[in-house]
Amino acid sequence: MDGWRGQLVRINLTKGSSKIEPISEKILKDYLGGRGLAVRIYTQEVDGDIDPLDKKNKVVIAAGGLCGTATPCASIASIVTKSPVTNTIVCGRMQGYFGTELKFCGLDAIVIEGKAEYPVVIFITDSSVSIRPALQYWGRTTKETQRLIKAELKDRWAARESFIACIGPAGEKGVSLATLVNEDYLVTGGVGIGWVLGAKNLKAIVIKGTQDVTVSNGQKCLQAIFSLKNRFNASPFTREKLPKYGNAFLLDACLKRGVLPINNFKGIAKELNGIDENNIERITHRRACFSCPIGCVRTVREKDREIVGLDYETVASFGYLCGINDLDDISEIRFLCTEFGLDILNTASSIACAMELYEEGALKDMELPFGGKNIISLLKQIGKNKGLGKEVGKGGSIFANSLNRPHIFMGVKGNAIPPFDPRGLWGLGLHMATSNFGAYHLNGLTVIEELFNIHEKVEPFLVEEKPEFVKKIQDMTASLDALGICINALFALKVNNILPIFDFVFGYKIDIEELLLVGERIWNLERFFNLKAGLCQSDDTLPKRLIEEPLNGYTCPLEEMLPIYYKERGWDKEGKPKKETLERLGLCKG
Amino acid sequence: MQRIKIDPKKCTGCRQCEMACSLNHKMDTVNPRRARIRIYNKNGHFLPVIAGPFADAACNTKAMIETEFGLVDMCIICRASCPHKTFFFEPDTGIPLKCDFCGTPPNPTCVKVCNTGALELIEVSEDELF
Ligand code: SF4
Ligand code: SF4
Ligand code: SF4
Repeated sequence: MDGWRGQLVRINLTKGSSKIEPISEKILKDYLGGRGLAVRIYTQEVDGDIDPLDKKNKVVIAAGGLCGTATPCASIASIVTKSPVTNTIVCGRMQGYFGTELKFCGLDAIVIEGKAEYPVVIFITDSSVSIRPALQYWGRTTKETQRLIKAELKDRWAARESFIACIGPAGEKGVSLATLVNEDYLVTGGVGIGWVLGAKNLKAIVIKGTQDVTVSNGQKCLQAIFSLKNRFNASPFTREKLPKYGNAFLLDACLKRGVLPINNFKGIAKELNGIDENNIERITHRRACFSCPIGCVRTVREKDREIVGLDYETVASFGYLCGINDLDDISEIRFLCTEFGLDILNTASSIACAMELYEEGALKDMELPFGGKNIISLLKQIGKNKGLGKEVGKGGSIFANSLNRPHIFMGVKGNAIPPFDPRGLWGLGLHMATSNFGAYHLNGLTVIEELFNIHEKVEPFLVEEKPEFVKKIQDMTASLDALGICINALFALKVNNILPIFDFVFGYKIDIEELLLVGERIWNLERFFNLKAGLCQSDDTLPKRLIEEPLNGYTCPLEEMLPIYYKERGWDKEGKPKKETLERLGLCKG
Repeated sequence: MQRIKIDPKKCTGCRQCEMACSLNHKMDTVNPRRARIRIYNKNGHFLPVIAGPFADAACNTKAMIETEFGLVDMCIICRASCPHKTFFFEPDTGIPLKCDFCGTPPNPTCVKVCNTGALELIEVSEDELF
């Protein structure tokens, strides 16, 4: 099969067994891989009402369809499970080399089921799987774990080519905010996945593959790669901004637009507080995910450690939402989050929540004003699940609830709102309210269009137009996630620029409608699962502060946009997909 | 005479050069293990190495070289496909790999695909080479 490998490996931790299974071509064509494939496998095999921490829950990792085919920016793998934090399906975005390596193992996906009796590591080498005890790694930080695993591999050359995804102490100890780390990259968007893996006693997955990925026309593929590269070099964003500053250049854009929130969304920034793109550029170096000509990852290189990923999400959420105005502190925070395996956005949000509670006088255990230095010790407590960290580590939603102030948590469905103020970005507001993973921006990056109007002109404050626009972006992002193409590519490409490569890689043609249909299919499947998990229309909402307290005279008119959005999606008034919608997408039972 | 100049400081570790090299050398196949250029990660610094001649026995130098990225094992920077390390051998056949400069006149795919300037085709005179 060209492009895909057509196989998955099913690993049962309870029995300690594994099995290679074929994936039908129809499923691959309908879902393309990555997020699509993972969601399809997961929703097919797991009931909506499952307890996420039960041993019956599964975790599916799938490599993006175009991963490992040399397509620029195609490096993203997706990890899907039901999160104990949001009680919805969630999908973590694995950057780096992991997804591609999975393809070179001869696999499109890994399905992990059951629960091991004691901590284990899974080794996957070219489709052969071994499960080994991992007591010696349990309790270690992510970097230490990776170093030890590599040191124990007999062949040090093979160790160089092995890629490791692992959880940190936070995941082991059942911190809600836990996520996993693959190589040096923190997985974003998968709040609680670390906890699920920890509950399965799975410490790490080590993969190494030496097999070929075939494409249908290699020479044409190369030509397409060169022409895509030229496109990247033609856009000022991907030629200059992203390589130089990473996506932290959004700070400036958000400031100018008045949507850079500070102090747990209590206000917006009037000026940058020293955390800005130039300072970030000064202290960081550039790095790239597999196959990516953009190379937007900013890393701090110190003598004996590397802090990867000083991105907008990190600097804006800790720098502005929590008010830390020292870049060195923020690097340290990023480092600690990576070491413990904590989700950046949610950790920042929980801490911002705690800070606001402190300022209101509801929290007395620790001195925690906005911008306070105690944040580092709090973070360490969260990672070790001790003291106040134990409470804050339960996630902003539960924490704020426990102090009877639920409105202070700025999130949707238990997932924290990324540092963009929806009162100035209505499209994003609607997206986050309806997003299947709870508030999260990378599964529908409406921000790119709303801030920069790169591909189309978007009116900032027009209720009627937003729902259609949001639906389109959501579908588009879902299909890009399925292909494994990084969302940052949209700064330079339109989706139809990627279409020619389909023919050269997979050997068949596809048009833009079909591609968006794949996205819509994924989106509806996720929605369907969430409804079975017990979510309802009232969960499609935003925190009170964003709906009721105006900012520059605007609130986010969610009530008005939602019905139009449901209609646009072909859902009924309760937000359930209608039968004809499911039929149109080929999702009816079968 | 043309040569490829490598500037590790500019390399981002995207490994697109590996992919392109393998795509160019085995029809319709992508596999970095077939590439004649490999990228090594040294504490977050990336060192591109292009495969040189085949050596049928390992040398006994085994030195550490001090670079601005810290101490680097010379076996990593060495270009030979030698029995000591598993790089620069085709994974399925074990045939050693060597950069062929992508034909005559040189038309290096890796250089064309590298977007950061880490690989560059330069003109050098014979005298400069030795
Ligand atoms: S744009 Fe950045 S995040 Fe996306 S693939 Fe490239 S380096 Fe990775
Ligand atoms: S010049 Fe050609 S053969 Fe040599 S490393 Fe580059 S792409 Fe490979
Ligand atoms: S293509 Fe260039 S930047 Fe990317 S890994 Fe190769 S040498 Fe480094």
